[in-house]
Amino acid sequence: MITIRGLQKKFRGKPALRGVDLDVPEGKVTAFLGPNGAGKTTTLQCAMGLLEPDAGHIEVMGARRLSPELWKRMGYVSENQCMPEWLTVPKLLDYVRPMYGKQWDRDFEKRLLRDLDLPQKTPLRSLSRGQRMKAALVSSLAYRPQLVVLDEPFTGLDALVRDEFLTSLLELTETEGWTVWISSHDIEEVERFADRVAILRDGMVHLQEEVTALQARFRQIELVTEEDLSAPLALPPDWVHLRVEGRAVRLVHGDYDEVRSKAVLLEHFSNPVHYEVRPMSLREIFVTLARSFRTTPQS
Amino acid sequence: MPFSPFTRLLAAAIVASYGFFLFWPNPRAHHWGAQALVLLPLLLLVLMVSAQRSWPVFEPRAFYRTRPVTDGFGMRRMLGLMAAVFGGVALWVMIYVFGHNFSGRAALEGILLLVLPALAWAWLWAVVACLATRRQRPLIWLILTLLAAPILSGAGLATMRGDLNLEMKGSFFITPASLLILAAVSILPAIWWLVASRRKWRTGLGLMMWFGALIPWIMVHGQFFPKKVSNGMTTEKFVEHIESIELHPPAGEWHEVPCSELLTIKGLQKGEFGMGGFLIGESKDSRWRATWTPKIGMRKEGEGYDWLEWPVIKGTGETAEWGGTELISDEIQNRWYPNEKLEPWTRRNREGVQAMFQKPRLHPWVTGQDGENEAERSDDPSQWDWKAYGTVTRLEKAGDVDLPRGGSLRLRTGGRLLVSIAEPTSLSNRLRLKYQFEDIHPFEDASSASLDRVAGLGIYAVVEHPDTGDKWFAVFRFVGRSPKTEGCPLFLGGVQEFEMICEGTPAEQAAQELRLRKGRLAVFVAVNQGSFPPTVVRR
Repeated sequence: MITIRGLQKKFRGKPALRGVDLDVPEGKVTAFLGPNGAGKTTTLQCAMGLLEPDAGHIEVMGARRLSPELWKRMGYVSENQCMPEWLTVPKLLDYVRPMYGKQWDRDFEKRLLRDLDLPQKTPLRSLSRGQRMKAALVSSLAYRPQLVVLDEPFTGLDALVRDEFLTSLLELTETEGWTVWISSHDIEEVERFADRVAILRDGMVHLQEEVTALQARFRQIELVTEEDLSAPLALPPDWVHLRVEGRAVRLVHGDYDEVRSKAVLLEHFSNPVHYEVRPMSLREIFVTLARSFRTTPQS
Repeated sequence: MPFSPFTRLLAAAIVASYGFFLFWPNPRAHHWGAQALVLLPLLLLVLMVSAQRSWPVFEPRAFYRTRPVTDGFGMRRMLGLMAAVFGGVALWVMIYVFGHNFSGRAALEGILLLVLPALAWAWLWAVVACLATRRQRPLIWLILTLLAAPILSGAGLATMRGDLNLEMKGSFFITPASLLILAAVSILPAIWWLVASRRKWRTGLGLMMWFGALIPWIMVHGQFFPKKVSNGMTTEKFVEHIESIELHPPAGEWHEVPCSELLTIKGLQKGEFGMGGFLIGESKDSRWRATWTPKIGMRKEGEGYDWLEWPVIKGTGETAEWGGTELISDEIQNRWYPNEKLEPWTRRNREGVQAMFQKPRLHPWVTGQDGENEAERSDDPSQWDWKAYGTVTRLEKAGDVDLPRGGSLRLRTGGRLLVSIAEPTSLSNRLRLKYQFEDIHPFEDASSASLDRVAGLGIYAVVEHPDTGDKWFAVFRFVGRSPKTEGCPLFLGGVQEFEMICEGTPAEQAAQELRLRKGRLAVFVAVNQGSFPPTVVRR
């Protein structure tokens, strides 16, 4: 659906994106993760044609430039958008509806309004942050777009509202089969429904992979021996975040194979009295990766 | 997307304010409007900032940019706002011009005067607001950058010239202010487009700085197409069928002379009237230093001087006949009331009255146009040059109004007459008439042409009794410029006031008042046909 290669962008001479390569495949929910300031919004805005990149190649639904016809098939919601805050929700929808012509689904609009429980007579400026995001969502989904792009849609929402938002979004993506590209700095927000995850750090994508494949290869391993241990001098590249505490070793294995990986472990730490391998949640994988460049072996 | 309610309200208020100042009944409304213009740049700044905030053209956060519309959509909305505001102002001007019966040229000048400067300010603020909202740099950096260019350029220019004298020497069609406005209106929209565009804002900023640097140069050197200066007298076309004009200044000692002996005109046609005057003074290089205003009046020969009215020269086809307003009355009666008799509004004994020219007196405080010392000139008019000048007029009927309601009469030649009953005073009742005329000088001679254009307008009336149908001929006296609008008489025009008063014995005044309260008024104007060639006799 979206293909990005070598995307670069500078602001005031400082590079924000240093060559981003990213794929957003059709029919899947792609979570775009990264800490604040990593360049997520910049990447999204360049892809949506809102910012002009300095270098790189972008294709969205097969097109290099977004036309009004393409925008009829896309929905975009961002916390940074300047909404016409003097309008009420119905007035906002009255304004955008004619732009989509017959593609706009009035029944679907009504259903969304009902499910999201939005006030009808209050101007947007008087709505809560969560309600404004919901209003933006309705205006961007009522015409059943093929691609939905959400830029930090949960920022500032309390847990209850976020849960409502997520639940609605999850139902819609499952029933409609949309392609969703959602950016967030918090993995917990998206792990419930993300099919694919891409992690952006310092202006580059360090990882993009299917969630199932990611969870299949990451394992948290705990090993206890009879004698005190010391960290090996040379670590296999798949070992991440190794910690040695007395006789216990804890590490994250980035490419775990039951036979091979165990053999390598036993080469370094022989005769373990306790050996435990457990799968990791997406959040745990994300946190581990985020720390991966800062963790040093401890004894 | 509609602009924010505040933006729309402010835009409507700006347009409405023009209407208020153009059409408010108070005669000083135009003056108030001129004073209020100093607020306009501030209002336009607020409008442009508000519009930019509610509709950020090309901004990544702009709501419309993630909708199925082109990027030009936002730009067209901003242009639409400009068109609505200034189109509204232009519409007001056209309505105003139509209402005042002014010409299309006046409408054009009015639009240029009211729209262009405001448009220049609007575009300037649009550029500044767009730059400020792009958030590429702190606002203070932007302000300093924009101000630095004209300041440094002005400093450089002052260094080269030694000073920055902005005083214009002479009169020009293109002045620095008008050139700056034209440049702003032409260049700033392009700069705005560049600034608003995603990839070209630096080019736009550079162009803006270049424009700022140009400003001091325009203010110092931006005057083009000098206007020629006339001799300050008539600039009207000459009436070509005037065959000859002879001026015979009296010789020797004299106190007064009949006008018919002083000036003879041949070729003035039937139905034409001449109204003019004489200059006595010294002419140098075709410029007259008029030092006296000779008195011309109707009076009885041999009696003390009693100035009744201005004399009139009536065309007979061969010679001209001198007389008073009775000549006008006869003409109106013959043309419009052939089977009726017009009584004079004020009965005066006119037996033996004739048009006389009185020898002017030298007033010690009067100086020539060059400011020369009076002691250096002779006080004997016979030693000076003589000049006769004047305009040829024809009577036209302007229209009828019911009294005391009054009304407005549109003149065929432009402008209109406003007739109203003045509030009665302890002195007398009076009928007031305002002549609103077009007065613009965009491409005319530097000297005001209004002297001949206005002075030639005589206004006369026939008052009809509502019950008897009797009719009276009256003259509206010129009382000067409207005192209430002194300093700013009328946008694109001027205002002169005339009045017709009730005078005579108390019984006559009461009868006249009755006619003014209930009668019907027919108004006639002497329309300027051109000037007769000035005749000069040099001593």
